[in-house]
Amino acid sequence: MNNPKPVVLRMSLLPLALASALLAACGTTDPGIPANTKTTLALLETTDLHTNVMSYDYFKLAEDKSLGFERTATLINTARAEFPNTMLLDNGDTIQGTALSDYQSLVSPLACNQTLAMYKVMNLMKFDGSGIGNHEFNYGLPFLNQVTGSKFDVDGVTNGATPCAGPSFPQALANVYSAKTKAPLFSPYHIITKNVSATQPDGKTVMTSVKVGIIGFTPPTIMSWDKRWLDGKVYTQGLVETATKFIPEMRSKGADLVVVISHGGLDNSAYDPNMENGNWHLSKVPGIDAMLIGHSHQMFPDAASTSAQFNLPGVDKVKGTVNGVPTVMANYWGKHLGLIKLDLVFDGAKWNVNSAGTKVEARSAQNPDKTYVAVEPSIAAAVAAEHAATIQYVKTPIGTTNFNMSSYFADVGDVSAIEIVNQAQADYVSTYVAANLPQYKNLPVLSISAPFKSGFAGGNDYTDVASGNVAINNAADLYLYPNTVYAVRVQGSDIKNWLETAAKRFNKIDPNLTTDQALISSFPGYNFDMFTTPDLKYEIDVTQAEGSRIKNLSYKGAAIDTAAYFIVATNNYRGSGGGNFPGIDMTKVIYASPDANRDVLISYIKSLKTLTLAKNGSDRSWSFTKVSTKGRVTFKSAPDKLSLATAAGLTHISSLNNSDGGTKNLADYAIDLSK
Amino acid sequence: MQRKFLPGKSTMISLLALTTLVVAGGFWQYQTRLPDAVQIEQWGVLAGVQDKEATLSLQTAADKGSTVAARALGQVLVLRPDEASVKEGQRWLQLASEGGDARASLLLGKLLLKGAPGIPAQALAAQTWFESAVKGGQPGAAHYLGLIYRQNLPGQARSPEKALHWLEVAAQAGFADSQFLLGQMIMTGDGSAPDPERARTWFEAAAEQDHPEANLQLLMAYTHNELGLKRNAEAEARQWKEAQHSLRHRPAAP
Repeated sequence: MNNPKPVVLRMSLLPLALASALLAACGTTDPGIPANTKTTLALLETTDLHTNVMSYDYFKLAEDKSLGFERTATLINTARAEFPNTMLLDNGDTIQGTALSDYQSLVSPLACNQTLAMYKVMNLMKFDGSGIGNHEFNYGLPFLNQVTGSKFDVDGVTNGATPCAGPSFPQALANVYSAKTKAPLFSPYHIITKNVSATQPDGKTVMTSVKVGIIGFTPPTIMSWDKRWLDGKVYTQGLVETATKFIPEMRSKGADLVVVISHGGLDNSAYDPNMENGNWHLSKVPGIDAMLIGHSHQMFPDAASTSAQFNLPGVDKVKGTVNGVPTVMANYWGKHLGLIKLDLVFDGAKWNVNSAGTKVEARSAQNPDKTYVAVEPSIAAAVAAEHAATIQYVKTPIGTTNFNMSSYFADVGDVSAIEIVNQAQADYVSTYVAANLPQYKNLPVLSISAPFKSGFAGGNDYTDVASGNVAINNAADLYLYPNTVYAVRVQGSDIKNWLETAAKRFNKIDPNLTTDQALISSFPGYNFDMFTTPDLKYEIDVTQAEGSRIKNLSYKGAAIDTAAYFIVATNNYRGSGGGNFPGIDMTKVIYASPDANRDVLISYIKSLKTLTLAKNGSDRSWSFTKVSTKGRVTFKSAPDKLSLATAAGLTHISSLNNSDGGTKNLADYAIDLSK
Repeated sequence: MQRKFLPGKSTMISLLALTTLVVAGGFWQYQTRLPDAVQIEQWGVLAGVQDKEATLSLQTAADKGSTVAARALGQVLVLRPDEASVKEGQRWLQLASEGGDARASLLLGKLLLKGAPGIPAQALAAQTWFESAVKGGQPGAAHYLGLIYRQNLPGQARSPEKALHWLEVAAQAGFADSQFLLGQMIMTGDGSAPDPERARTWFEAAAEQDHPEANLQLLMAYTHNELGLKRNAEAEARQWKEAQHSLRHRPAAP
């Protein structure tokens, strides 16, 4: 309402209670219920569900009872049985996070008239509303526009005559705006008329309603996290300014309660409109009755929490308040259900919270005896087709291989499980540089990776993909860790240092010792980076001290120029300084890609269709410097695998036994370093 | 029974409005307490999406001598793809830095460390700005001093001891990237004896902030019995998913 400012200033001197009394006296509302009518409303929160609809792990293709909305739904049913009036609200990070979400967005994109599996089951459970998390933006704005049934007016989004199918509950997001129109991307808030049963002063139970305003926030840091989708298309505003603007508007439109649904945690460092976890400051904006928070994958309240954010001044981790505002965070993946019970009293004009009755808790799907609550069977039934299709997708062949891709002998030179990874990374980075980094287009692109599964846990801890079909879940065996592709620009001298560090994988061998010497040191296999290209050649001299082992390092047949620049495709761990490789850190990174090495590998195998030993599994860049040793040089691998070493051309390996006598399913082998 | 609003008499409407505005009055007071810096940051956000009006507002404030606006304007301009904007941005950052804005010094250091169109990377020149920023109260700049001392540069030999010192300054101030790198140096014994337990506390601090590589390091520590952790299927599964999940929202670089 546009009242002149002087009136505001004059009236702001009036106590609130007086204004309310005046309002009530002249009967602006006709609730049909007397003052002192009471009710209880329980706000139920889910957050960070990440499309864990089923209690299922799509990587392992096995049940995982510790997560999944089919169990959260049971917690919801229990709460609804316990409290007469509940409101079910989701705090975002909902539509991304499992193979199911990838399947519905990337593999077999959802048709306009279909509802996302996650939203389907949320509709089924009758959610009252939701916010929008940062991960909602991961698949880009057109996808988000489609699956939420929105009509974004932003560059790059085309809208049909009618919106696509979306959730059947309202979604609120107040701090993301279209750069084109400067209008909020979603409705910033909704005022939901919630029917409730209430008790009149005479003890009679009546049906009436409470107007609950929900307002949503997402971390402004989405702008850097999803830069590739959002840059120039949308912009964000800070939580405090946004709330300060909209909450009075919500009240003026009749909201009895204002519930903040803010995807983010708590941070009491100086307020900044771009801060990721702005809710500590947000809680101080007047007029908030309850806050549903998330994003941090933690639970609140939790008396035992050691998390820094829940031990800040003003935060009561036992009662569940932040600067006095009842606040809940329901962990993640459906492991918990957040609950804020509010006792409401009608004062003749509006509902007010009787804070003495407020109770906040995060309820676990795990029982005290470590078992889990039963599933709500209607959930699985509702998404049976999508679940089955996702499992099918994970098992679908993406190509074939004519050789066994394994890491049993990667430490001694077998590249059958490594080269395909290096080729996929090099292909991905070369394509990106050619298209986007013209200043580097003349630099050679090399690629490096390590055998992540190299027997640490025993004979079963090796990559082993049989010849024949290669499926998505085999790609997880070929690339174990959740990394993303990074490209670094380094000099020949950096490459030498890089390989010297990797060569710490080996113990120093004394050629004159007549006793057995173990070849492999305690340096972890995940740091044993290697190239696999005919262009780059080097020897590792294990008789030398660490730092002096790389010999005859050459590029295209000539000694490498230590001052020349190269691009090396690697992963985010190495590019960020993981393993403490000298000279490798973020300042060398020319491309921090958002794509997972494993996904890049899958795409590459799909594009090749057929993998052959000659082209994709036998290009060794390195060998041991030849040396005759008086005693045996030994190493361990899984038993009975010598034929794989032979197939890889490693004829200087011999099997010493079928068991090393331990319990880890390992056997001893020897390597003749003179050959 | 539904509550409904009756169509209003004029007095009633104005009272309703007044009630609203009484509430709004509280907010109005809150808003006047917000520092100008918040408005400037918001202009910076808008200027970042090439909003002409916001860029002009920043320009006007900077011209009037606001160092905060000069810094915000410089920050936006140095990210633009053309040399002219970058140079202009650098000029504003220098003005802001001379005006005592340590964040501008930090931004200048970052610009020189990484380079930009028309500006070659120059670590030693960047180092001077970072030193000035640290003195001015920007511990994030210590992270970059750590990076520089961790490298072997023409004209300045690697100094793991100095790198450890500066990374710890930034790590103590809460920067996850610094906590991770400091943990790496401590874990591998670079500049001091290896101390796995101490390294782990830094990785845990970074992981709590959703640092993807710190989460990965903890995952690998479980799978390889490192840093005092032991193989544990449940912890590994959880840590695997945390490492993957955090890739999509790494904490901001210092």
